[in-house]
Parts: sequence; structure tokens; C-alpha cells
Amino acid sequence: MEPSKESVLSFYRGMVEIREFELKAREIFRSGKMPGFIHVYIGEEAIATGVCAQLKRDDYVASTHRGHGHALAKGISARAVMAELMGAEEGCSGGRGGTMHLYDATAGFLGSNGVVPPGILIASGAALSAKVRGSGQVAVAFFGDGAVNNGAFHEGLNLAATWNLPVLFVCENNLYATEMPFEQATKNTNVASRAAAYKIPGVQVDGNDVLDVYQKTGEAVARARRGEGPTLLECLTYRWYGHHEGDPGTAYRTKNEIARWKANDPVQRLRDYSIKASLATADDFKNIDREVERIIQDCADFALAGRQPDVRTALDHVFSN
Amino acid sequence: MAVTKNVNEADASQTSGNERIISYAEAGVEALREEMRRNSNILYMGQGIGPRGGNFQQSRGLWEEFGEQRVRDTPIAERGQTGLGIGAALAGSHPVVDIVFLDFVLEAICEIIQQASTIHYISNGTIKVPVVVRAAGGGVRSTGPHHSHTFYSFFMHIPGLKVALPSTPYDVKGLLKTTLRDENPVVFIEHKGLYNTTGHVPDEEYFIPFGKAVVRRPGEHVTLVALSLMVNKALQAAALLEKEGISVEVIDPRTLAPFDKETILTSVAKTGKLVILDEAYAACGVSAEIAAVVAGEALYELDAPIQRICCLPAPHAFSPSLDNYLIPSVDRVVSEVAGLFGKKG
Amino acid sequence: MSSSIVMPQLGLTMTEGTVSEWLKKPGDFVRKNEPILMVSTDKVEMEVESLVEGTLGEILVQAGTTVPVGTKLANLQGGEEDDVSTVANEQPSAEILQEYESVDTRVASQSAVLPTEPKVDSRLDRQSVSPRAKRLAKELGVETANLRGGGAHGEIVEEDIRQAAISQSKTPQPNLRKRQLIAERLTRSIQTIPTFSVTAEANAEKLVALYERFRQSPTRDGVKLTITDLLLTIFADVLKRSPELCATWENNNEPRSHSSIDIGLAVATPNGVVAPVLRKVDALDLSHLAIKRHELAEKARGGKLSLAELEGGISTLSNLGMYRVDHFEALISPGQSSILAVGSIRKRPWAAGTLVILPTVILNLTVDHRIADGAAAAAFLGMLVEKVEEPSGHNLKTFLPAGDGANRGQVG
Repeated sequence: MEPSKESVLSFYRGMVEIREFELKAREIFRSGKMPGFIHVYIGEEAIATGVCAQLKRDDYVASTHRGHGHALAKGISARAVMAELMGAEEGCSGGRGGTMHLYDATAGFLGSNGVVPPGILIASGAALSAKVRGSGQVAVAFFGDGAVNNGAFHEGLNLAATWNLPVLFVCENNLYATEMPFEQATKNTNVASRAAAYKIPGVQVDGNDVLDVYQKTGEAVARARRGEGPTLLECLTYRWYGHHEGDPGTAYRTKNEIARWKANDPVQRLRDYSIKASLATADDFKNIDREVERIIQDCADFALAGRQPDVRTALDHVFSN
Repeated sequence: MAVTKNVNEADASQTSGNERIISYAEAGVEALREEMRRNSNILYMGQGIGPRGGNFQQSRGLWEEFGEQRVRDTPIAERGQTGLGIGAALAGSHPVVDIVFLDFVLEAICEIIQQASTIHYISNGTIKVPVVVRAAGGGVRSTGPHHSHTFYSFFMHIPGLKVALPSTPYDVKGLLKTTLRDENPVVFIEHKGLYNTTGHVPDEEYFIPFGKAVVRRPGEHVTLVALSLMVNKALQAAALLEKEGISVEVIDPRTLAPFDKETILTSVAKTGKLVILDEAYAACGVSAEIAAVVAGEALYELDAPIQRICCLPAPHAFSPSLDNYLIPSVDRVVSEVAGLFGKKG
Repeated sequence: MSSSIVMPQLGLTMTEGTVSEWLKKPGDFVRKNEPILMVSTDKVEMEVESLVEGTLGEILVQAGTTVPVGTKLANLQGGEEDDVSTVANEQPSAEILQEYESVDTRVASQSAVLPTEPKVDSRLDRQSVSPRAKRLAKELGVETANLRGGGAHGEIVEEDIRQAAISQSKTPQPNLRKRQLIAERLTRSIQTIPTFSVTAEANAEKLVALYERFRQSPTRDGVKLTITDLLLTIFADVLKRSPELCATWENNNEPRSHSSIDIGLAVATPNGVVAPVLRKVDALDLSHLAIKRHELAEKARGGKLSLAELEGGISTLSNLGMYRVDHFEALISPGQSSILAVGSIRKRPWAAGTLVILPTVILNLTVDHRIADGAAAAAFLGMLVEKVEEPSGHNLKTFLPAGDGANRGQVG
């Protein structure tokens, strides 16, 4: 079924927002002003955008260290995310979490995570809660190819499958876990095929085609909401840059491979497809580009002007009263 | 949270005609049952806790009453079940994750420390983690190297976790009820050697606050702080030492985090001598923490060096002779306390 | 093999002493030269060391008792045989006297005695004291240095402090002790010395002028001239010329002449009046006298005077001129034969042809009638007044010796 103009522009906007955000974050990081270190999502925007477009605001997401894209797609404001990257108190976690610990209960965002496999368990647990409460909510766990050989993957998928939980396991397979190529980490490089071990559907998705992501996610969410349990979605994609800012990403990857995948740019593909299918014009996209640029600049200014949390609050919230 | 009533502690240790005597295991089940009736968000999961009622009968009757949605048997996947418990807590449930043997909590410790203890803080107080990790620690009758551990110090060490260590049925019920009304992550550590012990538990509802130690036995000459099952050994030793003219004050902290140091400091100011009895190892244990706190805050009250009586530093040997030797015995307690007074004991 | 602890002769004039406090208990091991008890005399209170090594046996003279020098105080087991008779009669040599410093100067850090039973932590070279005991010792003012430890491993514990506090409270406090010493001395003075006084008012104009002139140039250490220094110089000068007043009445019923003009100076201290003695005052030039006077006064106030510094002297100068006192009479220090009491220099009416107002000072000399009669005393006072009114003599020509500040000569 063909998408509407509205939806392609919406998808486009979502992806461009992530991309521009990440480029701006890189820029600020390289200027030396940003504490810690960041992992940018550039190249993988279609997955976060496509998946989250199928979720309601109160559905749950558990994310990874490479989570800015998930956060933005799930509805946390760009300002709040950028401020959080600066450790400012205006950030979505009050400056206490930083890039890898973005939280927003109002958006169902149960945290990007410095450790990836636990996200699988957290999302499954949220799904368990939803099921027991009968709320109809679903949960999504994002993780990479690096997590699928971890015990938490096995325990989480098994429990979710056994208990028929309304959860989606979205593997963003970008072929590398830090610097380790996937084929060196495991014999079975077909992530989707692992679903069979738990007797749940395993679906391979073109992670750089936002429409494919959107459609297959939709099927999985429907399944979950019907009470038919979890789905494993393997989204094939690639990150343009290194594992983290500071890693050029070229020591373990060839220039050819990088070039090939850059040519498979999800943003470009959507624009080309939409123009070709006469769903939108080049100007429509340019307008969005301009607007997003403005928004991102604003959120950068906002974040750079942010305040560091008062040290007198350092011991607050260790416990909830 | 509102504490409805604190039943007089003195009553708890006495038995007279009408008082209700139940087991430590039953006391825990009562707490769970009462709270699960009141709050449908409380879930319970672990291995063998459903129809079987738990390895120590610590969940008996819950599955029958509350059903398989709320009371779930899990496969052998402590990390998985704990991670799910935490995730469910983030989404508004109040799960109790029953690890059964404290030793196996090591499989799940990453989730407890990295996730459960931090999320409320790093989400800037916006997300709560009301999860309970329940397990039985300690050695009894040669449970051996993989079923005897008592590493509650790991959890006392981490900010953001509350830790309970009840030693009597009265304490189990009171502390577990408080736990299930607390929105923070709680590690609730029982002792497998205590499940069959009995004691007085009132009919009426009561709660025990965290951070409130109890003086099990008043004394004048030496303060003896004991943990979990060791409280009983401390009391036995105190009775023997009384005959030698040594009056021992036995203190049971009951919770490790929050920790009631004031009761201990007040006692040491009176007696001038401190002995800590802990079934766990001495190095970096709770006994080391208590000793450091007292040395730091009551140095000028001490009339003798602080003594620690702990499990000797070896894995828990199976053979009864070794097992009984490694874990502190009543005899060892008597002898070491008497030694403080220059006596043989 | 046993020996005795006896009441030692601690000063030239000492005839008896009081056991203030036993520092060891019977059964304690005592090392050679280790303090074993506290003794107080008419002048000071001091530690007495054991001359031999051994175990303290029975105590024969309890704390608070006064006994003659040479009395056996306790037995010491295991030491070498002591010649009791020589200890009793021998006059201590000057070196021994110098060793005995007043109790306040002793630093209480003698190494502890190792009890023969429970072992002490061998890593420490002083005895362990529990923190509780230390705190309590401080609160109760108990010295831990020589206590025996009753703790399980020989350490000093709370109980030991409490016991020590009880026994220490039976010993009179230092201040009280000193007061009692002063009381004894002065009672003895008034009971044994027949006295009379002569008084004169002297024109102090020239004395004051000299004082003001010399005061401009302090010594290198900043010691400034005082009226007392001038008075001492004048006093010494007149004494030198008065053989009769340079004598003291001895126990054998005879006067004894003194060639060394040694004069005591009354100094008020927190623990009562003390009178250190300046030796050969006539031989000191003014700046040296001032320096010596300053030194002794400081020592007196700090309770650091040695016995030697308190012994002897022919007479004493007592100057209350810094107070609103015109005239007073003082008591003679036993062993001396006179005392000069000086009131404040004030502007008073003076008849010199006409009535004028000028600074005067009233001098009162109290004399031991046994060594001098009224006429001699009066003549002496007259010479004193003359010298005060016309201060002269090579000692009074300059304050500082030419070209130099403090050339501290030791005058014994």
C-alpha cells in the first residue's frame, strides 16, 4: 500500500531531525564543550523513526548507548536531549544521566542504557506489567548485533516468549559491535533466525527503508496487542561513523564498504522515492530541511546555555520518599 | 508512607497464653498475602514459588490465591527474571523477585546494581523502581559452597538499595510489609536456617520501619552486634557468659540500609567494648563497616579494641566438622568475648 | 637482698619532708632512676627516684605524712644493698642538688614499667591506654604515665583511671600544697625570729630621674631597667658596708657572717609568693642584674625554679610599689636576717625649707633582733636612704656597659 504525502513528509522530518541533531552533537563534542563521549546514530535513522511511528506515547521503549535517535523518535524534545548531553539540569534526566541514560516517563522512555542487554529485560518486564494490568500497552527493546550473543538476550526472549509478552525485540544489526565484526562473534549471523529457538516470529527488515521498517513493525505491534506475544525484528543497517566519537570507524571497516552503505542513505532513499512517486516535491523536503536546521540550532543554543545542577542536590533522589 | 502501628518490641519476645506463635516462613507469607490483597500491582516470581509454594515454603498459598498472572514460576534465569522484575517496576508494577538461594543473586547482580539502584537517581527522581529481591542466605547443615553465602555487604555498599536482614518471625512480617509499601528497590535477605524457627506475631497489623535496630538483650559490660541467624547464637552465648559475670548487650540491626548506628553507639558509650558477630567473611564485610563507624564516631568510648567474629576465610566446606568450624559457633563467641575480659571462657 | 627507700636530703636546710604521693604500688617493679614517690619540702615539691632496681615492698610511710630526713619510707626487694647511713647523713653534692628540678619542669614521659604478668603490645614503647581511658584521664585530671594497666593485655583501661582518680583525690592539690608550704615557713618565721622594724621616707626624685634615663636603653634581649634593680643595687652596696646586717642567726645559737651579698627578691606567682635569690649582687653591674632579675622572676612565675635558686640569701627585697601601698612590713624568710619592704613612689608633701611636692618612697626594714639592735638597724636604714636620695657609685653610672647590650655573665 502506498504511503500518503503526509506520512512520507513526517518520516522524512523525523529522520532529518535525528540526523541534524546528531551532526550538531558531533560538532559540539568536537569543540570540546561536551562532557563524556557520544555514540551517534547517523545512518540508522530509518529504524527509530519507522518503529516509533507505530507506537503510542504510553508504549514503552528501552534503548541503548546509541539512543539519541530512539529518544527523539519516541517524543522527547530535542532541547531536553541536547541539554542532557551537556549534563545540564534542563536535560531530560536533569543532567544526571547524560547521553547513555536518557529517561522520560511521560514518553514511555525507560532509558537509553550504558549496558545494552538489560534493555531487553527492561522492555520485557514493562510488557509483563502491561499484560498483568491488561492495559494494551506494548514495549520495544532496541539493541544491536552485539547483544544477541549475551545471556540477557536468551533469558529475555525466552521469558517473553514463554509468557507471551507484548514486546518487540528490534535488533539494529549494523554489522559491527564496537570494532568486532558480527561474523567473528557468532557462527549464526542470521539474527532473525534465532527467533525460531524461542518459537516466536523472526523478521528481517531493510533497516534503511523507513517504509519497510514501518510496515513490519506495524505487523509486530498488532500481533503483540492481540496478545500473540513477541516478535524479533532484525533491521539491517549501517552506521556511517565510528562506534563512538573519537573512533574513526575505519580501522576495522573498509572505505568501500562505508561508501557503499552511505550510498544507501535512508534519508536520500525516501526523498528519491517520494519525488519519483510524486508524493512530494523537492521543495517540500527543502522546507523541512530549513526548518529542522533552525530547530536544531535553537536546541544547541538552549543546551549550551544550560546550567549545571547545583551540588546541593547531589544526594537527592538516591531514594524515593 | 504511613506506619500504622509499632507493636511493643518487648511483647515480641515473650510468650504467654493467647499469643500467636508462627514460623518465620509463615510470617513472610502472611506479609505477602496481606499486601498482595491490598495492592494488585504486587507480582511474585521465582523458581518453584508457584504451586510448589517455594523451596522453603516461603510463598505457600500465594499461587492458589492470586493466580498465575501474578504469581509466576520462572525458568532458571535469575538475570532474566530480575531484569524483567525491574522493567515491570518501571512500568508501575511492584514485583517481588524470589531468588530463593542468595548465592544465585550473583547471576542477577548486574541488573540490581546497574539498573535497579541507579534509575531513580539518574532519571532525576522521575522514575521509581519499586522492586523487591528476596532470597535466603546462610549455611545450615552443610549446604555447601554454592548454597551458603551471606554477601549482604555487596548490597549495603550500594547507594540506592535498601537491605533488610530479619532474624525473627515478628521482624520478617513487619519488615516485609514495610518493604511492599516502599517505592524503592529492596533486597530482602532471610536465612534458610531461620525458616522453621517460630516466634510471636501479633494478630493486628503492624509495620517495622527500616533503620531501627533492636536491643535483644540488655547488658552492661560488652556490646555484641549480631546479624541474621547469628542473633540466636549471640543470645545463647550471652546466657553462658552471664554465668561468668559478663553481662552482654545483644543488638540486632534488622536492616543494613538504612542502618541504625545510634543504638550501637549509645550501647558502646555504656559498655566501652564492641564485638560484632557476622556469619559472612570479615574482609570488607558488614562487620568491617560497623567497626569503622564505631571507631570513627565513638573512639573515645572504647576501652578495648573492636572484635569481629566472622566466618573464617575459606569457601564453605561441605563436611560438618569443617562447616561448624568455619562458621562462628556459640563456643567461639563465648571464648572471644570472655577473652576481652582476660578470661578463658 | 633488700634495700630501703629513705627520705632524702633535698636541700641544704631541709630537715624533714612530706611524702606527697607514692608513684608505685607494693609489688611494682622499679628501675634504677625511675621516680618512685613525690616529696614536698618547705620550698618545693619534687620527684624522688629510686637509686637501685628492685620490686617495691611494703610502704612504711603513707602519703601525707611528714618525717625527718633519713627516715625509712619503704623497702625495695632485690636491689643491691644500700648503705642507709650514708644516705641519711651525707650532704648531697651540688651536682645532685642541681638534678632535682621542681616538679613542674619534669616532663611526665618516663618509659613505663612492664608489669611482670600480662604482656604489653611490644610494638609500643609506652604502655597502651584505651581511648576511653585516655578521655577519662583527661576529664578527671589523672596522669597515666605511671599507672599500672589492668586490661586483658596489660593496657590501661577505664577501671584503672577510676581507681587512680580516687587515690589521687586523697593527695592535696598542688596549689593547696604550695599554700601549705608558705604557711609553714612564715609561721616558723614569726615563731622563731624576734623582729623589729625601722621605717624611713626617702626623697626619690633622683632615683626616678636615674630610672627614667636608664630605661631608654634596654638590653639586647629587651630587658629594661626597673626601680627594683636600682633598689637591689643600692641595698647590696649598703649591706656590703654593714657587717652586722650581713649575718644570720644559726641553729647553733651563733651568728654567721656572709661574704657573698646574696639577696632574695619576692616574686608574686599564681601559686603564691616565691623568693629566688640573686647571688653576689654587689658584683653585678646594673644590666646584668636586670637580666638576672628578669630571668629569675620568669622562672618563678613559671614554677621552674631550682632548689639552688631558692636557697640561702642574707636578706630579701619585697617591692609592692606597683600597688597602691605606701608602707608595709614583711616577714623575714627563715634562714635570713632581714627584709626590706618598699612601698610605692608617689608625689608627697616634703619639707625642704618650704613645703614642696615631690616623689618619695617609704622604706621599711624588718630585722632579726638576734643579729642587730635598733641602732645598727637605724644606721643601716640611714645609709640606705642616703643612697636612695643620692644614687652614686660605679654601679649606677651606666645601665648598659659601653658599646654592648647583653653580655650575660653567669654569676653563681
